[in-house]
Amino acid sequence: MEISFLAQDGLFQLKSNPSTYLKHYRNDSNEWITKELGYNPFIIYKTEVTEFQLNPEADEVDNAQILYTAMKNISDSDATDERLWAGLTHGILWQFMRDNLEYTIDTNQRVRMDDNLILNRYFFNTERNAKKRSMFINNLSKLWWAGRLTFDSEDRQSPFKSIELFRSAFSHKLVNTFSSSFMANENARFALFDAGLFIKEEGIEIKGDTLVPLTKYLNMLGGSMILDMFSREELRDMLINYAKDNLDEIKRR
Amino acid sequence: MTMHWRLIYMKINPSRLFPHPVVWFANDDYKNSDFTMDMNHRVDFGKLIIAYSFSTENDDLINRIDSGDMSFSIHVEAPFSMFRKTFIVSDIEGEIEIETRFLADKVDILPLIIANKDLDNYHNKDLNEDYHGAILRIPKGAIMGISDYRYLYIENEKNDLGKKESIFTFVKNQSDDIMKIETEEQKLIIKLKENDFNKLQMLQSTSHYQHVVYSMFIIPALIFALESIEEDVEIMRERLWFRSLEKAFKANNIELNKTTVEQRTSYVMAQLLLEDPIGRALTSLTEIRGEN
Repeated sequence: MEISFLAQDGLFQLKSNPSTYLKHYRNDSNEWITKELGYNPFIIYKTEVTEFQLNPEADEVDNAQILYTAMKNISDSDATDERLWAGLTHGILWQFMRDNLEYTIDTNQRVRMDDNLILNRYFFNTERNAKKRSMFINNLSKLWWAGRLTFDSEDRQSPFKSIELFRSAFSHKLVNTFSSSFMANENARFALFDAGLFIKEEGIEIKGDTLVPLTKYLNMLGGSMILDMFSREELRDMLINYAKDNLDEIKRR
Repeated sequence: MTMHWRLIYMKINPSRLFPHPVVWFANDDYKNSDFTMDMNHRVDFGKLIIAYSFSTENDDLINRIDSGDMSFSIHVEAPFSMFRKTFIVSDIEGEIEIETRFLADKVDILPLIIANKDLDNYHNKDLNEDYHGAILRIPKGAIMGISDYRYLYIENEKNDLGKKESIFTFVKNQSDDIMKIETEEQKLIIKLKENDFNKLQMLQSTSHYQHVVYSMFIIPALIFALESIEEDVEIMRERLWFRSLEKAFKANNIELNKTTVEQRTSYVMAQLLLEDPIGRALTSLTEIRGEN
């Protein structure tokens, strides 16, 4: 199916005046956008994606798998582009975004409808200072990137098994796991997930910060040597050994 | 333990301490050795191609590399698109390729020499005297040499419709504020109150007023932007508008930085870029008057 991104001028217009447009974000339809801007800011994106449907009340881990599977053909480069995600949040996924917003507000007392909530969910809010962080906060790009970074193309049986580590405290885990630049190294990333799954199999619940000691250890390894010299298996052994030696600390998290 | 953390950032902090000797401008582990890499890059058919040429005068290191104990390598990182890879290269000169679909914005490049395996009794003729008699154990993957860090930008120059994108954007300001210019985003944003914005859109629907619009809005925005340029060019380059202006000035043999703006003045530089906007605006106004 066709998807559209948001033209830059339209994006700036909406993003620069969140308080003015705040009231519209609970509308059933997104028709207000064209009306307010005086033109249609949606532009059809060059690549089509597979038909998909997200469930506004589902766990993010499940939605991430659906979204990434449908949009796997988007390049990493384009997936860093705010215009694409702002186009989806305001475009074909308007209904999902709106229902998910209501659901989040209803089920979470701390979440309040304000400018920041809209900027975080629909745009790249921290783009100016921390673009990468905002990719993991935007409601849709965080799902795509979670899928992208946990999808193991070599594991044909269960390519998404690592995403289970993100089952609770999804957003918190995304930010504290992927803010480490070593996680961009594929071998290191999957070695860490393998070690995480090992911990899980030991019967330890993977809470928000359970994997933090492993991420820290990986940072330390990466700080002293070039991780590319090691295979996924070698790195996995190092991380699992570390986990075994530090199970008490990991449990305390 | 804390010293290891610094490599997390591509630019290795010169005060970083390694547990073994490293050929690097920031220390004197070696007496007379250097390690450099020349490079240039191009983007071809969706690939970033980096042509490199390494050089070091340290014979012992060259022998280690020839024997396979160590390798030249190029560490490449594009933080936004989560790309991170160390290219282990076998030749002193050559090319590496990366598909641009994996890259976005800034690409960091760091040339290194790394150990391919554990080296139990490392020695090098050029080592500083402090190391004499020391038994040096080098672990596999250790950094043995560091050359100058550099970076480049993968430009996504095509705009929404495939045309080159303007670095200016007009935005309707919902509050009744006077005109504002924002320089901290990727583009230069000119914010107008709704009434003004609507009139401007009417004027922009014909090309008659293009130069007048330039004089009224684009020149002040450019001046404001040029005045906002800070000392650190690397930080400024994070903004698309700066990289774009830098390129335009470079075509006229002008380096864009704080000093140039101070010397040439922002007003002169803005006019240079737009090629006599005042004259052209006046001509347009005269013609419009003639038509009436």
